[in-house]
Amino acid sequence: MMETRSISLGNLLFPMELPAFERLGAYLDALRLALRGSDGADDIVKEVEYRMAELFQDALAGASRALHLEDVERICAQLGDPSDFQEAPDSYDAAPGRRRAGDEGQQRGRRRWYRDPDERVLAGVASGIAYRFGVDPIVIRALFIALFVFTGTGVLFYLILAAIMPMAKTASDRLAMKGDPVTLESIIDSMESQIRSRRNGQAQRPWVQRWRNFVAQTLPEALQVLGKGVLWTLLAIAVLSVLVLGAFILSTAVGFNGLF
Amino acid sequence: MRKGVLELCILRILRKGEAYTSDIVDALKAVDLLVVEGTIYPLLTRMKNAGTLTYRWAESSSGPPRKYYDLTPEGEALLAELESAWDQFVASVNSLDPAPSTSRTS
Repeated sequence: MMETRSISLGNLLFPMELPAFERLGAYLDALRLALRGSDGADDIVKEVEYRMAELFQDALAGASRALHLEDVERICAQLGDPSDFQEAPDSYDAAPGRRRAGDEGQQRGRRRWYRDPDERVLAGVASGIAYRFGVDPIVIRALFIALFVFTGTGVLFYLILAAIMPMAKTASDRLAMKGDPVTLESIIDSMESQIRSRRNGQAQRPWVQRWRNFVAQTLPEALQVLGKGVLWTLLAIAVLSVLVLGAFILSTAVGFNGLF
Repeated sequence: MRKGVLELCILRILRKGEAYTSDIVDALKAVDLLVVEGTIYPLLTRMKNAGTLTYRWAESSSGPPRKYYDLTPEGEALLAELESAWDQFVASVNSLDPAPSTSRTS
């Protein structure tokens, strides 16, 4: 028995076994990331989806079954690694199929600020920052604790960061957080560690899980709303005080006029 | 270089009339000029942006929508140019050192 998902690809409906579905999602995710910022990226992704729909149709050959992981893997191999979709800047290419040494380095982008959902203790701020600067999370955690103990601002600082740093939700977010190259392999690695950590999460006692979800999800969201509220209040106060000041100056001016 | 050849091949395929992406892919694969399909998409996009190709979307009764490509007048001009460059290139390479299997004609 295998859980299946139903997907719509190129206006057609395909039932897929769960691993196949996840692999397809990872592939398209990696493709979108590899093409980010290049010409006609959306069009290419759309066309690739249509091409996949066509190939899935061929694979099924009229049979009414769900697509297996092997089907998806074969078709992904046929289309090529997402990095194959990037146009080489130089038209003098090496032998077919061989990738040049520079490619990997070129794709290793700048690491971005994300909260890490996989190795988090609370909201994943420390682990995310650790990835950003390439240090061990324990260093950042120690810094937060030191800040709290010596200045008392650690908790506030942490909560503010939790509110402004987005959680790395998709596989490509995670790769951007770690600054990993975008290949199908790395996306799949990242997905697998995600699934593992989800399992670890389920192994915890429910109250621990609930408390951690509160810190990771509810609190940052509440702070975001609160932060916006405070911002608007400050803005309103500023506008009001300008108005009041203006009115005061005007009234004194009028008052003087009345006097003389 | 390889990409220039691929470009020439795409233009040649389209000289016979419009074709949708999978037709182009199949034609190139049949003659071992394409290893993974992925490389064709950015190339087609670039050729379209350069004005050598146009495309139209067409519904298909049996599958997903298809993107049909066709040559523009600029594309035809480029094809003629690349053809002569290609002939020249092949002639130059061949004149250097004839392949062992072909007999000298001089």
